[in-house]
Amino acid sequence: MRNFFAIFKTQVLSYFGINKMLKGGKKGKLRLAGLIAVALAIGLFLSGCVYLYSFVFSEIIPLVDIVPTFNSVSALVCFVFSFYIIGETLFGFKDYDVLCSMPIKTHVIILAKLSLLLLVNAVFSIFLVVPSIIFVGKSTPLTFGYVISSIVMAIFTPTLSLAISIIVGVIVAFISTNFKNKGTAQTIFYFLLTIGLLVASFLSANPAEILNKIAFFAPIYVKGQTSIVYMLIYLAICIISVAIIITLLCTFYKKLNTLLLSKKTTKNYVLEKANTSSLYKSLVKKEIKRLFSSPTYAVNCCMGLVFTLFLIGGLVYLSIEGLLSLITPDIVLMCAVFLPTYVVFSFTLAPTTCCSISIEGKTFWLIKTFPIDVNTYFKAKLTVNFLLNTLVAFLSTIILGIVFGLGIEYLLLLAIISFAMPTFAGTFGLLIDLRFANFKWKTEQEVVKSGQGILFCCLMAMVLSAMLGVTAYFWGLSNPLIYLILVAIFSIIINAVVLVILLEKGEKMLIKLN
Amino acid sequence: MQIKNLCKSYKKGIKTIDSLNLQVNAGEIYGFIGHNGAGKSTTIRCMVGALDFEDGEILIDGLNVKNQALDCKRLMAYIPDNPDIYDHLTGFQYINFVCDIFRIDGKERNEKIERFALEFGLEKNLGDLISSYSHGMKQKLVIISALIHNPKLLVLDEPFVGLDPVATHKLKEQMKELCKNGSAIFFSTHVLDVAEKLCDRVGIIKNGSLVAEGEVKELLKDKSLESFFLEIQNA
Repeated sequence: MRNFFAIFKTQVLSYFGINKMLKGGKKGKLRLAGLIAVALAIGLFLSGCVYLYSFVFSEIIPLVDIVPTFNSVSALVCFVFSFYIIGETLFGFKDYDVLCSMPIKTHVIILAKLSLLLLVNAVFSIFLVVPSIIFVGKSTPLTFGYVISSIVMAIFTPTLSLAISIIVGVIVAFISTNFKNKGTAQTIFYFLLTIGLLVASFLSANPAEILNKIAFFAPIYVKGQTSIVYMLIYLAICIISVAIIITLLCTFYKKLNTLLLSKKTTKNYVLEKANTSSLYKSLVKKEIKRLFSSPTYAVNCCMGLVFTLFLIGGLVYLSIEGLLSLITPDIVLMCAVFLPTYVVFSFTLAPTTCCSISIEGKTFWLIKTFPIDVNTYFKAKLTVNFLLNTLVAFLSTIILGIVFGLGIEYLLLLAIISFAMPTFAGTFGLLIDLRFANFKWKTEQEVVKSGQGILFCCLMAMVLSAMLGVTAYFWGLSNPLIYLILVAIFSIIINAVVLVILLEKGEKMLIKLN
Repeated sequence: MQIKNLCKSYKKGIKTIDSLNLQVNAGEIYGFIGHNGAGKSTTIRCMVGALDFEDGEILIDGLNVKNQALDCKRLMAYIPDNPDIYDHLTGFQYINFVCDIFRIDGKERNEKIERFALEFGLEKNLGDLISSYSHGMKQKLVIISALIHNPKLLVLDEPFVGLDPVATHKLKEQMKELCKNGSAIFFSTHVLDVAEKLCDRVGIIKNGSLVAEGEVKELLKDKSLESFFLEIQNA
C-alpha cells in the first residue's frame, strides 16, 4: 500500500505542475489556488450545462430516466476520454524502467498509474450526475437513499468505462504495431472510433434509448437507485470487471509492454533524395507530424474537426433536400444566431497551440539553438491551428450558410465570426502556453489533457460560448443582424488584442523559457 | 568566440557563472573542464542561445549572441549531452529539417547526408523513426546534423557519452578536420585523457569562475591533466 501511495503521490504532484507550484513560494501557491478556481469554474459550467440539458431531456424522456441517462453519458464520455490515453498511461511511460527495476509488484504500478485517471473520471462523473439529481429533485421529492445510491454508483461508473477502454486501448495499440508510424495509426483508429460512437448516437431519435443500449448496465443502475441489493450488484460489476482486466493485464504486462513498444523498422533502406523547403514550410510540416504522431494530442485538439465531419456526414445521411423542406426561414435565422456559439464551443475549446510549446518537452533546445526566427516559429504553430480549426470552421459555416440559403449579409458576418473565433483561440492558446509552458512532463497527457494551457483555453471557450449562447437566446433571436454584427466586431477586437500581445511580448516570453 | 564577464544566476544572489572571460580562436580546439555543477553546461547553454543571461556578452565572429542571435546561430552548431530530438520524425526527415533551417541547397545536402550517414554507419537506419534509435544512434544523428552545415563554431557538451569506439574516433577526426578548415571547437568533458590529447587549449571552471586556462603543454608542464585538475579541485 505504501508503494501504491508513493507512486500515486508522484503522479498527483506532476499533474498540472502542482509540485512546481507548491515549491514556488507564495507566487506558486497563489497559482495553485488560481488553478483550483479555474478547475472548479469549469466543473460548475459543466454542471450548469447538465442542468440545462436535463431540462431539454425532461421534454423527451420520463423524469426517472434523466439521472440514469447522465450516468450513461458519464460512462460514454469517460470511455472516450480514456481509451486514447490508456496506451500512454499503461505502457512505456517515462519512469517505466525505474519503477520496474524497483521491488514493487506489477499490479501496484498499474493500479497507481490508473488511479489518477479513475479519480479524475469519478469527479467528472459527479459533476455530471449531481446536477441531474438536483433537477429531478426539484420536480419530484427524492428519498435520501435514492440520492446517495445514485451518486455512489455514478462514482464507480468510470471503472467500467476504464475496463472497456483498457481492452480497446490494448487492441488498438496491438494493431498499430504493424505500422511504422504507430502514433499516426493509433490516431486514425481513435478518430474512427469516436466518429463511430457519434454516428451510433445519431442514428437514434431518442438519445436515452441509444445510450442505454450502449450502456448495457443502465437497467441495473435504475434498480440500484431504489434497492441496496441492486446497488451492490452494480458496484460489484464495476469493481469485478476492472479487477479481472487488471489481473489479466498484470499476468501479461511485461510481454505486452515489450510487444506494444516494439518498433517496426525499414529493411533494406535506400537513402532518399532530399527535398528542400522554406523554414516556415519545414516548421509547419514538423508541427503537423508532431500533432498526428500523438493520439492524445491529435484527438484532444481536433475534436471540432471530428464533430464537424460528423455533422456534415449526418446532414448527407439525412439527405439535405429532405432536411431543407422541413426548415422554415425562422429556423434558419435561429441557426444563424446560434452558429457562433457552436463555432466557439467546437473550435476554440482545445486549439492545437494551447500545448504546442510544452509538447516540445526536452526537444525544446532545438528551437532555442537553431536559427529560427521567433515570428516564423509562432506562425508555423498558428498555421496548424488555422488548417485544422479555423479553415474547417470557416468552410463548414460558409457551406451550411449557402445550403440553408442565408442572406449575403448573414453569410458575410458568419464568415468573419467563424474565421476570427478559432484564430483568436489559436493565438490565445499560444500565449497561455508561452506563459505556463511545462517541459518536464512524464506523459503527454500532463500537458495535453491536464496542462494549464488546455485548462485556460477550456475556461475561455466555456465563458465565451455561455456568454454568446445566453445573449443569443435572450436578445439575439429578436435582433439577429445586430447581434451578429456585434459578435463579429467583438471577435475582431479580441483577435487584435491577443495578436498585439503576441507580437509585443511573445519573443520575450519565448526567450525566458528554458 | 569571446566570452566577456559572463554572469548567470538561477536564483537571486547566487551566481552560477561569475564574471567568466574566455576566448576560443579559429582553428582551435578548446576543452572546458570542471566538476559536476561547476557551470560548464550553463556556460554552454548561454553560448548557444538556449539560456538567457544577465550580464556580460558573448561574441561569435564579432556578432553578439544577445542582439544578433539568429546570425550567431547560423554560424554555430551545438551537440548537447542528451540527444533529445524529434522522435516522431525519421532520421532522414530530421536531417532534412535541419538542412531546411540552415538553408543548405538540394545538391549539397544530398551529398552531405550520404557522406555523413556512411561515415557514422547510419545509412541503413535513416528511414526509421528516431523513436526506434538507441542513445548512441541518436547522438550520431545529432552529430551529423551539427556537421552538415559547416559551422564556424562547434559547441559540444560531453560529446563522447554513449558513442561506440568507432563513432568516437570518427567524431575526433571530424573535429580535427573542422579545425583545419578554420572552425573553432569548444567542448566540455569529464574524459581528461581525451581533452589532453585532443585540445589545443583547456580551461578549468570551478564554482562558476575560470581558475586555470592555457595551452595544454604550457599549462601542464610535466603533469597529466588529471593530476593538474585534481590539484586545482583540492586547492
